[in-house]
Amino acid sequence: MSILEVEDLSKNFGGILALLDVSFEVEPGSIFGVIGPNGAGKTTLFNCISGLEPPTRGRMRFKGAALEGMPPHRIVRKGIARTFQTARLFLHLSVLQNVMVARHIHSRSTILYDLVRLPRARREEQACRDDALKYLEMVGLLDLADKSADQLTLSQARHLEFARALATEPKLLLLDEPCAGMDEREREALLDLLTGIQRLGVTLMVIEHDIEFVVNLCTDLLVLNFGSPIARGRPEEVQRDETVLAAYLGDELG
Amino acid sequence: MEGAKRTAFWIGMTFVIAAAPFLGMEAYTVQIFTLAGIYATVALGLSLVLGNAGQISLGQAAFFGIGAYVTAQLMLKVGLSFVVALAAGGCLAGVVGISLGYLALRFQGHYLAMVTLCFGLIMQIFFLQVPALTGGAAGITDIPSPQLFGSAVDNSPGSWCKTFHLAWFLFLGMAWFLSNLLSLQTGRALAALRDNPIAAESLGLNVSKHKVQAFAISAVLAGLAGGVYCVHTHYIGPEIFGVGASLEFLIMVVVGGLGRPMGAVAGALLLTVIPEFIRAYEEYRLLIFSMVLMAVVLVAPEGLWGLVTAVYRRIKSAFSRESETSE
Amino acid sequence: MTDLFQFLVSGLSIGSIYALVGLGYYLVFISSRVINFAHGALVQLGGVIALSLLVSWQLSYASVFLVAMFIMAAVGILFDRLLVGPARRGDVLSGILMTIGGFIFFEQAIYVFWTKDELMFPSISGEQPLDLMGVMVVPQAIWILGITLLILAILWLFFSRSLLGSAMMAAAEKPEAALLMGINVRSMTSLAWGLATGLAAVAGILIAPITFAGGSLSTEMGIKGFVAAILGGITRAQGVVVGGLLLGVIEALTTGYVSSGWKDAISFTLLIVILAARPQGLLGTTQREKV
Repeated sequence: MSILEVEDLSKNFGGILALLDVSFEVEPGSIFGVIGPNGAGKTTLFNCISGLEPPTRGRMRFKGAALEGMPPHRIVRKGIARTFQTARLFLHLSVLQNVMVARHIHSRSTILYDLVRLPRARREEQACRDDALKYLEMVGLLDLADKSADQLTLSQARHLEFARALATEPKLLLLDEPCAGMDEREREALLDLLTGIQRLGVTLMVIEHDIEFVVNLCTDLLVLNFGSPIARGRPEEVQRDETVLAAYLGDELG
Repeated sequence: MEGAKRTAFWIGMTFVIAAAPFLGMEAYTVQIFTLAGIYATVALGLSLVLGNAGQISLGQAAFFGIGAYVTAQLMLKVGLSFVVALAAGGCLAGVVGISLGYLALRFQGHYLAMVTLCFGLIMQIFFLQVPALTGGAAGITDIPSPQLFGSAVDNSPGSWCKTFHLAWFLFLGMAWFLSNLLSLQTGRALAALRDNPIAAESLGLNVSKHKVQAFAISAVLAGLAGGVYCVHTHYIGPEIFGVGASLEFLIMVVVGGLGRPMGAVAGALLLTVIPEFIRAYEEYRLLIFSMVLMAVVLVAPEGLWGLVTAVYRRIKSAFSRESETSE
Repeated sequence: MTDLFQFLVSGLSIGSIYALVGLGYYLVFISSRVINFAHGALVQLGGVIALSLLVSWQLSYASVFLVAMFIMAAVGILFDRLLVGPARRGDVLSGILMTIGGFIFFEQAIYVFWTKDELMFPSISGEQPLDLMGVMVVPQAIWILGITLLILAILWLFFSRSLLGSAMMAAAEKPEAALLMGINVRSMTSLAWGLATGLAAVAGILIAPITFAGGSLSTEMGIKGFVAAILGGITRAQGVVVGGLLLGVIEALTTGYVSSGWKDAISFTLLIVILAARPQGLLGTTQREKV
């Protein structure tokens, strides 16, 4: 059974079509790439799945359960996490605290325990900290744990976003242009990191412009153009598809 | 602050408050500081909403009033004991706070300020226009002092348990609760929400829940403070709980320093105690405070307590650098 | 029936005051994206300044209008240049706190430099009601309607026919484009503040004979003007005028048929309901951030 099923998804922004009748399925354990020229509706697709923008029409099912109408914070609890095109860090918090925030959904302490610092509150706080450190280690930011988040480089900021998203323990992780702003060496390291995450049993959906990166990483590809899917399949098939070539060439020429 | 140091701080504060009125304070001074403690509790709550949750509230005096009216009437009309009446007042203020919190979810910035301002005004009209519940324009007089441990709690010279203690222990307890919350999940979550609400909800934080909680807590604090206020002054009336009072609470937290309990204390003491030393200029009080507010917004957005900690940190780092070089 | 007409006339005249106050919010908002919480106090400050000019300086009624307008325009421009301008370059909260600080300051200034009392203010032409086909109307109501109409006509001409007026609108709506066209956006913002507080002075002078002059009406005036502004949609001047008139009539009818004690509660509730029903629609500032 597929982990995510999207059926006839459409999104309208005041008359402008961002998505039109997009349907696809994501198999568990796969790395599913979404590519397409600028303005093709890729980020809008992620926003719909993660609940930030309600779709105008269509259905989305995650492990068989309907997603539409669910607020973002509940979708995260269901097991879908995401990162953003431009990293959205909590700049007044430390690197460690950024990840700890993502662990809150797994805390068994409530505001009433916290109010008087009951043993459970303290225990959960310790667990939250330990777990967060584990995820920082996974992305290689352990040394920077106590640094303020506003002092990170672009690449470090992205890795912190990965750590944060992973800390929610997602089954499906949506990555919006994960290697934007990274150099060649960093991209290779990222490739390893992402396949490592896949081996942990996390299904990945990736938006990316770097075609080489996508072809190396992904097991499945979906190509969007002006909000509509124009191709779907394994990377080597999609690369040969003529409509895809036309869309990309058109984009380059335009 | 970690572990033992933290415990020592709170125990130390307990002793300071217990002993303070017996350390040669004049009866009148005790009265003034009692009032400051009451206001500090309101400011503490407002500081949470405004400084930590980033939600502006211009109707805090309404919650203060609800607490005061409920406590007074339950003691006078129903004959409940002070503690029960106070708890009821805090609860009702909290319930109204939750409602306003949910309403506030629909607004931001300027609009939220206007809406909460209107809420405050509507409540003031309510206090004035429903004499059956509130005594109308005449207010409620002759509110008795509470009885605790078999003796009256007031600031009379003979009493060992004073309204002063009531006010400041209430503040201390609430400050302890809040500093616990702020040092754990709630504090982190609120900071995250302020920094980037979209990222916060995409990581599973329930933005609405946290905002409403902050409103509710601030309302409860104001309500409890109102309950203590009515047994301190023995009189309440609609003019006490108007927009003017809400704005004074606002000045307290902004001038004292937003988002930190010590800022609320600093602001409340400043606005309550200092005017007593310059009573000849009473009519200029708010004019001066408004100028202080505008000056703080322009040059010290962290408030006075923010300035104090910044200076302290600078001195400390200067000293540690000196000791390093001398080694 | 005559009751109804009576209420309508008084509602429209009070409503046109609200419209003038609301236009102040509108001008400040479109030019600097700030809701000026001090505006209500500025209306009342205009009133007491005019009273001093009239009584202590013995100026004629017409020159009082002009002088008070100029003084208040200067106050508004200085308030923006020195305080609100620098503050609103920070976050939204700083802007709000600054104008609230201004509100307290101007209100207290009235208390300290004039009086805490409510001062009588002479009408433009006496108190003797006129009998208009059975409907009794105080002359001040006619004056209010007439002067407001005159001002609205001047404003309309200014914005639609004069170069300065169009430059001001351009600076407000598209500051970057206006800069390219050589318009000094900063002075246009000042012009908007000056106009806004100048109108506040007119509103303060016109309403004072009906209510009174003094600081204690500041909050009420401020909120009523704001309700007017949002009733019609704060980004459209015509809407603000309609909103003001509407609010005035609603209030007059409530006072006449329900009770005066709850009159204010009704406009405050109205504000909350309108804003709750259309939280973004009217101002359009809280559009969702692009993700």
